[in-house]
Amino acid sequence: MSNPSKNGARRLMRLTPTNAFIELGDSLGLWRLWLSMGWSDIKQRYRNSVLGPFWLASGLALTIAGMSLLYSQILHVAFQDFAPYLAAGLMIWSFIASVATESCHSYVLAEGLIKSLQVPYFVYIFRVVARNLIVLAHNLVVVAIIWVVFGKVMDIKPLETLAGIALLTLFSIGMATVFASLGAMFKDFIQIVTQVFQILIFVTPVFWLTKAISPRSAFLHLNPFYYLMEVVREPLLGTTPTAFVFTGAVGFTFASLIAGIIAYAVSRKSVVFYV
Amino acid sequence: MSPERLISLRGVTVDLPVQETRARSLRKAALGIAVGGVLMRSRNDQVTVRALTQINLDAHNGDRIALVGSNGAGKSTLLRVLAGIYPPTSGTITTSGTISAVFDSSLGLDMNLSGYDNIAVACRYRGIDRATMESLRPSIIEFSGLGGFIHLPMRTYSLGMMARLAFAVTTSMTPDILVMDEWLATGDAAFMEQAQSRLHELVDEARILILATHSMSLVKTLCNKVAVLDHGRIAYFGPIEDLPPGVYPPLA
Repeated sequence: MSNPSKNGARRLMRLTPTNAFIELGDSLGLWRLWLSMGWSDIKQRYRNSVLGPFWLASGLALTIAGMSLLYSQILHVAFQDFAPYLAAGLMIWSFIASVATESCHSYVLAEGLIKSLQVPYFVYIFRVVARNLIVLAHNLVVVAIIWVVFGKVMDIKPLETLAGIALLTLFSIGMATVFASLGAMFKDFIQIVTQVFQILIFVTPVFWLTKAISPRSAFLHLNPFYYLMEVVREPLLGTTPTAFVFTGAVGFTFASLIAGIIAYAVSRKSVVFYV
Repeated sequence: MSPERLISLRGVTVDLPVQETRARSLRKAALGIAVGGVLMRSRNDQVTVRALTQINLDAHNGDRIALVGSNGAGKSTLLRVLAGIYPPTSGTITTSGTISAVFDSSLGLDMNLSGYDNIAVACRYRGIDRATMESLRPSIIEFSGLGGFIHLPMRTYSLGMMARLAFAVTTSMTPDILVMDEWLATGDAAFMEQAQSRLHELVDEARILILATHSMSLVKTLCNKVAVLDHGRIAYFGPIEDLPPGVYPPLA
């Protein structure tokens, strides 16, 4: 584990992308710190509550139960096929949307720490992503129960699912870094993100099936969340994502990480003055 | 041989943007494009406060520097620059060695955890690894004088008790460069005495101390140099005994 204070002098140098990479490495080394911050956020949110983070999971379970009954009739899909599809989709979407909205405030809410500690800012990004991965793990319990009920457990492709979650996580880190900087500089940004993601859930195939529209549709091709949704959902449901989907997910992940590094390097010197 | 130079500031200027007067909204940024053709045109209209102006300062091994000046003279800003928290708007800063900065004693502590667990939290924030933390913990607990309270949640503590624990944690490690804002005000008389002697020990071990304070007795007992800040400029920097009369009357 690196000692952040040893890097104090280094971090004061003029900001270049290389410098952001160094801070990224330092922050990864501080994994104990951001992991414990993420855990303690969750503990504080659900302090003295009986179900704790499983309240989120139970909310997910209720939504799935209600919507699967309705939508399987609207879309003329068998209930036992639609319920798992919706469960996986909602679980993945709630991860993406929470990271997006919460990351806008990842610097702003850490004001006291940012103004007093020599800790590279990626720590505050990782904290938000780690916190949401913990929530995702709780939601996975709901998914697991549904898979058991519908006898789909043997269909899961575990390695591909893990690879998909890894891609999704990396994509989220890039996105969160961009949103954290923008959220610190522009106080309106979080409102925009919240509203846009409320629309995006309907544009992204969460409630509807991809085969219901043309595979050439822009709603699929131009939507990064479509690819990242599919690389996790498909192996969970027992299919392998097409090379096209996989390439798209990798491409958007790279784009997101590059955008994150640039946003970090550009805003690094100003963030402390704007939180 | 002259003592090793550990800190060097050259022409350091820090402008603090005043948030309320700058329209930090995307609407203004978008209007900026429409009107001026340059993204973030509103930056030109932004009101800033020049907190530090052209600061030159060298600190060498063995320096115990008191940072004095009236409220708003730039003491805290300078400490944050030294600690690597505020990047200078212009100018350069070079430091070598480990720096430990103490600004806010209750920082990042989780009030629902016990004092015992918060020692681990505080150490993690300061980059102290687990093994070192475990070895330091008994002495931290002993110094804090909290006894059995150490296992109760911190929200049951009084301010003074929190200050005791925070002080015990932050002074448990000896950095090369110790940067402190005066924050010892809480705590009872017995603890103040204990804290003072710990501070003396720490100052003996650290290679450089930089202390912002309004307490002239602290300056005289702990420090050998003084930097007088006046409206963001250094009015005097040098040995306390050479301070010209009139520059900083409280120390005269």
